Amino acid sequence: MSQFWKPTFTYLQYAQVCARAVRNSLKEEARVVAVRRDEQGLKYAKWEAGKQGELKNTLNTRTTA
Amino acid sequence: GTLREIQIRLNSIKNIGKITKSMKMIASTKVSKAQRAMEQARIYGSSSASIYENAKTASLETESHAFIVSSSDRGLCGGIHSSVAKATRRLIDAEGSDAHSSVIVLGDKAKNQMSRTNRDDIQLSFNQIGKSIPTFAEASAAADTIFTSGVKFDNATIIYNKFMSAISYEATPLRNYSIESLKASENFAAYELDDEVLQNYNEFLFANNIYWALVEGHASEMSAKRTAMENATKNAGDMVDRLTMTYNRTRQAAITSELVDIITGASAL
Amino acid sequence: GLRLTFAVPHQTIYKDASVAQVNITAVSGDMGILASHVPSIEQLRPGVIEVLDGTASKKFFVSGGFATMNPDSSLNINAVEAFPVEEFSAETIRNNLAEAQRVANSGATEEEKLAAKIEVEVLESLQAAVSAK
Repeated sequence: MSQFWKPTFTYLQYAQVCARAVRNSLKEEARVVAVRRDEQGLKYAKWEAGKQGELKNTLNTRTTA
Repeated sequence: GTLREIQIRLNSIKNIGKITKSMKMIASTKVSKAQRAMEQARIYGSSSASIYENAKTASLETESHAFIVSSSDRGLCGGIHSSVAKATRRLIDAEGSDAHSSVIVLGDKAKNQMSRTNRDDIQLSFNQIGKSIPTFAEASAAADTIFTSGVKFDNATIIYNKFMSAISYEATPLRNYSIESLKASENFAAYELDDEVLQNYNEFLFANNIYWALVEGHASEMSAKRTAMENATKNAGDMVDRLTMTYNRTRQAAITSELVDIITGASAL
Repeated sequence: GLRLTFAVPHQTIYKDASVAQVNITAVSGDMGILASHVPSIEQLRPGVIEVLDGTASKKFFVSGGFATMNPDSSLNINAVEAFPVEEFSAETIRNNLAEAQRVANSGATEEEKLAAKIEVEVLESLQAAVSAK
C-alpha cells in the first residue's frame, strides 16, 4: 500500500489534509459551514519537573486551498 | 440601614439579577447546541471505541499509564473542573505510590487544579479549549501532539465529565489502549488487518476518544453554567423580595416617626 | 443481517441500521461487505462508500477513516468527513485540483509539496466519484 506521505506526516496529519481537501470541494453553501471545522487554535506546553515550558501552537499543516 | 442605603443595595442586586438572567439565556442557547453536538460525538466515539469491547481488550500488567484530564479554560463553574481533577487523583492514588503516572491536562482549569497536587507528574498541558464546541481538528491536534511530543506511556485513561442530564454530570474514565494491549486482546486475532494499518488505526482511535471526551465535557460545562446562572438569578430575586420588604418597613417606620414628630411638635404649641 | 453504524465526528449518518450491503474503498482494496463478511479492520482511502438496501443505493464520499467489521455482523464506519456525492461542486474540484497540482510541483517546502500531493490524490478520487454519479 502506498503511504508516500510517511514519515513526514503522521496518520492524523494526513487525515486532516484529506478532510480539508474534501470540505473545500463542496458546493458553496455547504462549504462555508464545513470549513469552520478546520479551525483549530490549540496551544500546548511541555512540562519538566513541575515547571511549564514555552507555550506553542499545535501543528496545523498548511494546504493550498 | 438607612432608607437610602437600602435603596442603593436594592438597585445593585436588581442589576446583578439582570446580568445573571441574560447570562442564563446565553448559556441556554449554548446548552442546546452543545447537547446536540454531544449526542453525535457520543455515537461517533462509542462506535469507534466498541472495538475494545468486541476484542475484549484489557491493559497489560507491565505497561505504563498516562492520565489525560479533560476540561477547559473557562471559569464560572468551579465544580465541573474539580470533579475531573478529584477523580484523576483517586485513580492515581489507586495506582500505588511507586508507580510513576504521567499527567496530561487539557484546559487551563484542569492545569490549575492538577498543578496544586500533582505538579511533578504533569508532562504536557493544552489550552485554548472551550470557547466553542470542540472540533475534531482540535482533538486530532491534541492526540497528534501527545504522540509526537515524546511523553512515554502505553495505555491512557481520559477523565472527562460525562453528561448525565441537563442538571448533572459525572467524572468518567475513558480507556485508550496501546497497540500491544490491543494485539494481546482475547478476541483481536479474529480481525484481519496488517501492521501498518494498525499503527494508523491506533492514532485514529486516540483522536476519536479525545474528541468524544472534549465534546461531552463541553456539554456538561455549558449545562453547569446554565444551572449556576439560574440559581444566581433566583437568589438575586429572593434578595430583592427581602430587601423590598425591609425597605417598605423602614419607610413605614420613618413615616410613623415623622408623624410622631409632627404630632409631638403640634401638641407642644 | 448487516447492521451499519456510519458516523463522522459531528454527525450520525446511519445508526445501527439494517442494510443489505456496503461497498467501501479500503487501502487493501475495494470490497463489498455483506452480513457474512470476515471480521476485519480496514483503513479507508479517500473514496466512495455505497450503502445498498433493496433497490436503493446511496453514495457518500469519505475523506478517510476506518471501517470495522465485527463478528456479530455489525459494521462501524468512522470517517472524518463524509458527504453525499451530489453535494460536491465539479467546478470547485477542478479548480482545487489544478491548484494542488501546481503546488505539488512548485511548492516552497517539501512538506507543502507533499500536502499538495495528498490533496491531488483526494481530488482525483473525488472527481472520478462526482463524474460517475
